[in-house]
Amino acid sequence: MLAILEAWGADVQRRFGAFLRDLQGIGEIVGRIATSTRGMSSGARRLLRRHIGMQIYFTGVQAVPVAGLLAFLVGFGFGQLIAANQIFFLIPIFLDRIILQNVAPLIAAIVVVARTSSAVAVELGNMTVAREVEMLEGFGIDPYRHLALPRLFGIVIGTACLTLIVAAIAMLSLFSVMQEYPQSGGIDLVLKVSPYTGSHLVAIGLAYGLVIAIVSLRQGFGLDPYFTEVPKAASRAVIKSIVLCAVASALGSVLAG
Amino acid sequence: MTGSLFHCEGVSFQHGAATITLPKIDVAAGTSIAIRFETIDQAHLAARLIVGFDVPAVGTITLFDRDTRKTERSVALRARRALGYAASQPAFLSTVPLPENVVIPLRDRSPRGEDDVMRESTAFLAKLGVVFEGRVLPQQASPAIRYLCGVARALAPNPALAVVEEPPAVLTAAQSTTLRAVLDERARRTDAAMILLVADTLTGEKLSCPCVAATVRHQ
Repeated sequence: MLAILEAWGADVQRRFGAFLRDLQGIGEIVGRIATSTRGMSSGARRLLRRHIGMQIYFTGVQAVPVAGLLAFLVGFGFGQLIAANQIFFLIPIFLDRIILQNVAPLIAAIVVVARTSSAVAVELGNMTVAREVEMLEGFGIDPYRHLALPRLFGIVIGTACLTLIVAAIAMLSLFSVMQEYPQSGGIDLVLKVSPYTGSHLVAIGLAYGLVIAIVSLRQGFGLDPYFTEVPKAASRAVIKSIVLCAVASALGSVLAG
Repeated sequence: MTGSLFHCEGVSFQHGAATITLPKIDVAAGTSIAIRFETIDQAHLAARLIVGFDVPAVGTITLFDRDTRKTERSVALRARRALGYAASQPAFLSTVPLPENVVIPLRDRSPRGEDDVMRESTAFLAKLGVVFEGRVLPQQASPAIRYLCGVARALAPNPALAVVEEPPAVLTAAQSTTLRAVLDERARRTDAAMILLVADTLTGEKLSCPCVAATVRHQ
């Protein structure tokens, strides 16, 4: 029993140490990204814009088929649930509070985590191990500007866009089911969405994007320089992104009252 | 500012059981010097110290008037914009085609348009005898081409100080001659400096710049 407690204590201590190192690493990433754009040439600025565009495309556009399918299924499922139980009076709550404000952003976040977070962690991890990051520094190119900044902006903007698209698809899917039931309110269903929901969706999309980007960058840049560490960094990026997105979601719900 | 681009004094480092000591070197604009080592590995370790990737345990290295041991990362990063480093086995961004890899430092330092920098970089590669047809990723190119691309990447932006490691023993006779001509042309310039790190006596002697030897003590 004592041995188990000792092992548990050591594990807690190790995890707490890792948590502190992560916090320190995240602070360093934010600081280095913030100072990385000093003295940028126009050529570097052009390249940065191109890379941000590519990252937005990868995060926000290429993920639409998968995220859209999930959103359609969620909207369809809720629609069937409402119709089967004849609980049309609950539509505003289901649509506004559950689907749009919580489920849609989570679907977008999970898809971004699965596709982008692991990809960024693996790509940056491999570059760190293969000394490609050091090569950039050798030419006076800040890797946080060349590699981290476009990924940060791309993931944040891409996630916010994807959140809006997922929400729209889920809403249309629910609406397509409700069309067969005039008592549900028809087109008025859309009007039951509060204007606040739109801004909430953008805000939570940006927050999820920021969390996912920073965690992925931290795992990609912060690994020990061995190729065996790269897959571990990828799985850590996925797990930590999901956990922190859930924390951000809970905080958002508390703050929103 | 003393006008010295590179200065090293009393620097020694370990490579396995050997202790390598660099001679006192001062490199100003218009100066080119070759430092000879026993092996390419030793030359590579010295190059890492010279460009500031590693700091010497013993002695001091001053790069652009700044002690590499005391220079902050961001300051060192800015200073390296005036540096061109060609390793014997250069690292490239593996997902980016070689010609685009070569243009990275030039594009980053130049206010000119994409087409201009690409043309200049391609012209420099052609001077080294490297011409690409189609999309060639770094891992698809031979070690010799990778090395020559590394040299082009380092020298094309015309840095104030170039640090060039000796080529691995994979260049053909024609490639060696072309490379030597490019390096000699660079060594004759009065506005730029170059440090060559060689392990082959022949390479050191064939170049038109003074060659000093690092002291190697085996334990």
